[in-house]
Amino acid sequence: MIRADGLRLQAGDRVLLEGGSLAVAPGERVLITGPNGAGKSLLAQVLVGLSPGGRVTVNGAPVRGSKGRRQVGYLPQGASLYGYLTVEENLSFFTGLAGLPRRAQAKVVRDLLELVGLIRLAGEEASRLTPGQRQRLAVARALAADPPALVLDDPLAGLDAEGRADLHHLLDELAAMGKAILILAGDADGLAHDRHLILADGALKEVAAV
Amino acid sequence: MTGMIAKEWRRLLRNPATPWALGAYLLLPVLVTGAYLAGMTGNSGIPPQIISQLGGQTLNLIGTWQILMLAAGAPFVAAGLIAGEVEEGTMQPLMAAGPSLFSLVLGKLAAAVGFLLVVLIAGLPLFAIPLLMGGINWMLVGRTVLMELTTIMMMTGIGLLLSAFGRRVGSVALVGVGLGVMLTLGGGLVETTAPERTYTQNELIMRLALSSIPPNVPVVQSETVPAWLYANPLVGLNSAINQSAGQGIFGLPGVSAPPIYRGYPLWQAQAAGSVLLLLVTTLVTILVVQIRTRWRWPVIRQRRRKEGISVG
Repeated sequence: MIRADGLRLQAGDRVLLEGGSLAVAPGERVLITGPNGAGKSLLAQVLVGLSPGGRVTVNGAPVRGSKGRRQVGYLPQGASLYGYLTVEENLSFFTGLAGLPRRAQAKVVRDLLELVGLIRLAGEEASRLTPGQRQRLAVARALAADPPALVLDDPLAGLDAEGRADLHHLLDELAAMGKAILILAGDADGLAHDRHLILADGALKEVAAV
Repeated sequence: MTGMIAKEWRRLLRNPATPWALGAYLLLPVLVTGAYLAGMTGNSGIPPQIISQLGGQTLNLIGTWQILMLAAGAPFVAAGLIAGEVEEGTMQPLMAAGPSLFSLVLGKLAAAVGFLLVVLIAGLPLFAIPLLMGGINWMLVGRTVLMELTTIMMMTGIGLLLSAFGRRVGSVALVGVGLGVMLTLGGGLVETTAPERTYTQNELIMRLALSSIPPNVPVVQSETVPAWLYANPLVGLNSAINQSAGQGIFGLPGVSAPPIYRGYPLWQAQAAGSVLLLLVTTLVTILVVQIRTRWRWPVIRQRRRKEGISVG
């Protein structure tokens, strides 16, 4: 479970969120939407330990320092990849950063590529992938350290209908694997979720299930 | 760390400017030295004993060119180490992946220094030419290589630090290469354009780094050496070569180095200073990256690159 308490988001002098908290259970998909500038990306950075702004824990362990940050997989906005590396090399690099032994890396990379459906493109340079393929590779990269929780910032941005369908299917699989998934997006946009929260006007409010 | 080195090397080798820089580093000294040798050994009427005395000059020529290239090339290589990640939008996923700042910066530094070391090693066979010509020994070649090595360390450290402050690789590279050129050639340019006058000890050392002057230049003794002088690798090179060669370096075969220049331990000080500078710049880089991480990496506007990668 990923849990955040005492959230306080601030951009310059503007306080975007004061005193919020949230928790995502294993296998649960929580969607947070909000208008532009509400602080969704900043919240994502706080949750993965890249910015200060609250106490974040995964299964009780703080998301701080090298080991702590590995407990949360992160898909930032834009799905930037190393375009000069192949699909496989992109993943190998991140599994290496995750501290996996070299022998184990190849198997993990192969498993991840199969999971995201890119095994046939393993030798392709990342710069040649379609937006949907890039997004799936970025999700695989977020899973390199096998984290129990995932934070996805605007995962559907720039994807066509096919790319969205692929990603929806992938998120279903990840939830079924027991990952706690937190999705931040401008609007719900057909994203399957178990709970929906709105970040607006300095507060994080849960939307009642219909 | 090996993964980081492999990734950075791939990035460097994919840069279209890299083959040109490597070609210039290796080819130009080969062509110049070849032409030089052809002129000396043809029907020029120059006695063979004079040719042997020109070994020192050839060593100086190769060492100077390679140090110039490395002083400008090291910041170019280091420019993309951190600024490249920020520009491509990969800094956030990289930091989120969990490497410590220390290992991240050290891995990148090792990649850049390792790449430049390969370049340095590739240029070593060129030193066979002055050795064959004569007038120098292995120790002088070793000192030249040492000064090249310390140039790599100093300028990579500076380039890494600049990269930590920058957002665009092009801008960082431009500033770094400009700084490398100014550190090596700037002082010499000032000297050559200034009106003729009496030189202080430090000015003389500076001038000797870049030009041939007769040994009877009037010298005014100066007690202290300005700190910036240690940052010019060409000054260190000349100090390293001339200290024991004593001849053939200053433009006239058989002319001894001026007494003021003998026994002056500038090259050792410069080598030690370069290592120290590398350590300091690495530590400051870690601090800068730490501070910038807390401030959040500036998000560069999304744009489509030629190959279609979107950056965030």
